[in-house]
Amino acid sequence: MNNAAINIRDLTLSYDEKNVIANLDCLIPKHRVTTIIGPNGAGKSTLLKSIARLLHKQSGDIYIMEKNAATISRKALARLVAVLLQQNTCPADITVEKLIYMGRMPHKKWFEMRNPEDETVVREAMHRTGITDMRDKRVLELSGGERQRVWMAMAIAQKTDILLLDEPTTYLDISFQMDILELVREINRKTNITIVMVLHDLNHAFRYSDEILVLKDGQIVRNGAPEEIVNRDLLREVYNIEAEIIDLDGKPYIIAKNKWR
Amino acid sequence: MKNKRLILVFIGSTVVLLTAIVLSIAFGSISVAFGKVLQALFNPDVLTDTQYQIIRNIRLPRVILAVFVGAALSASGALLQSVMQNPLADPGIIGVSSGASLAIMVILLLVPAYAPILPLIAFLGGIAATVLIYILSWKNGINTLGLLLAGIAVNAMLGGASGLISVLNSEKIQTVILWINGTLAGRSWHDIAIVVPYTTIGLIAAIFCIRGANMLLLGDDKAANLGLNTHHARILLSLVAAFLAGVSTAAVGVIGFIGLVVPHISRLLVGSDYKVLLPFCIINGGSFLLITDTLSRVIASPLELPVGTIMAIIGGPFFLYLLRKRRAR
Repeated sequence: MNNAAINIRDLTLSYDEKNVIANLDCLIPKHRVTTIIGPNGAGKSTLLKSIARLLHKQSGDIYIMEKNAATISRKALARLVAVLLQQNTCPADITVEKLIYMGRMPHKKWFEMRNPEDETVVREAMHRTGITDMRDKRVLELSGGERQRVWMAMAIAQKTDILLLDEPTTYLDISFQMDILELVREINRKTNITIVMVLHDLNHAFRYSDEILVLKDGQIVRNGAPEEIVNRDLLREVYNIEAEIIDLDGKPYIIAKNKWR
Repeated sequence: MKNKRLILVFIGSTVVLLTAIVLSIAFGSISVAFGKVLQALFNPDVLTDTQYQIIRNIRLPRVILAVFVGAALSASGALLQSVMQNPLADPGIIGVSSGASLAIMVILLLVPAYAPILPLIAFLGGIAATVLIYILSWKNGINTLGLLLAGIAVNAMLGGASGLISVLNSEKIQTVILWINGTLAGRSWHDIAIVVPYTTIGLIAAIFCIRGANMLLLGDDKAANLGLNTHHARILLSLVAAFLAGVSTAAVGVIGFIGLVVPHISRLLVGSDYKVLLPFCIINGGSFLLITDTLSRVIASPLELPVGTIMAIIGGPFFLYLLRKRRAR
């Protein structure tokens, strides 16, 4: 219980009168990289968003660092959980550094000016994500991969215990995908921040995660270390595929063969 | 570097505003030389008695009114653009001003005794229009394009209702027509005494919206994740925008597009950070309405055109230009 960063109890989420997630219970451990996988429509992003309290209709409780997420203030929650969303927008003229500074908002009072602590945190976030030399560029003139690093830096500047990432590698080429995933792991190892992400690519999920949560039809069907839970049955049951599983540096690597029937 | 540019733009904008004020006082059916206007600041005796009377009783109140109304409508537009996450929002286009104007007409017809609290009534009308827009566009949260479209529809409906009322009661209240086509003509110090304090209150309230306005630009989810209560922020911003637009409408009628044009130009000059953008919208909004109003007095002299009409002629194409530019992206 004490080493759970997120504790979800009896969570039910509905969208347009339909239950996307029904009576879900789960614990997500502190300081580790946990990845939620599952077929389309399983409720992965919905679950992630509800942890960040971005969805309305829900029953059940979510405890974040032992605090009830529904009863603490938005600002207090913003100091516990940062989210990297799938779709991000920002003003056309905002610079990298200014955007990252927005990540400091949860720590600031209404008319509080930028202070030395903000400067340090923003500088550190840029350094960690390797974007220091882009600080004065406009975010919108960067490439997709660089932009994703900027959004990561903004989330890091939020200085939270937990970082949620909703398909952080979508729209990126393979090189930038690896780039982001390695960055995620590095940040986790160096800062001990708890990471929860949704990934589509199973091999990426297995390779870069300490824990896997398998979601299907709004239920968790399996959870644990990738090397322990991944097997042919799981892939048949969850994805309806027949696959070869090989061992790659101690982590499972799957090669899909055909549809299972 | 950046700050130097800001200071230059600030000085430039202020010079434009001051020049516009002097020009507006000088121009008109009875012209007064610029030099004399400047001298008169320190020594009113250089003016003839007629000139003095005209400037003091007609042109000066009109100039002050234009500056405050322009500032209010521009600030209102800038706030609505953040609320709707769309640079095409403007109190005159999305129905906030029409709501204010309709409320005024109804009150003037039914209970003319309430005339002294017209700004408040206009404010309520503006809020009613805003609420209507929200109700029409709400579906599982805010859809920003739907919000704008609902606004345009609400504007058309309320504008139609105003038109109907004015036709049906044309003999009863000639002056009501004025609230449909905004004009600054014939306003006195009495109007100033109402507009200036209310607008000042609204503009001060707008300062409290800056943080929320900036955060909403990142989208609702991101803003919420940064600790902003997006619903409260939207309500606060909408209220302040409706208040500013309502007070202006009560004084001069519906003047559209200024809340669209001025924030756009200001954004090109100083960027989209509301900490800087909002003050610039206030200064430039004052200049812009003042210049347009002076044009509307001079352009077809001795005939005077309603400034709302001139604004629509300038603003319509501008709206289309913004629309095309957005689609190209």
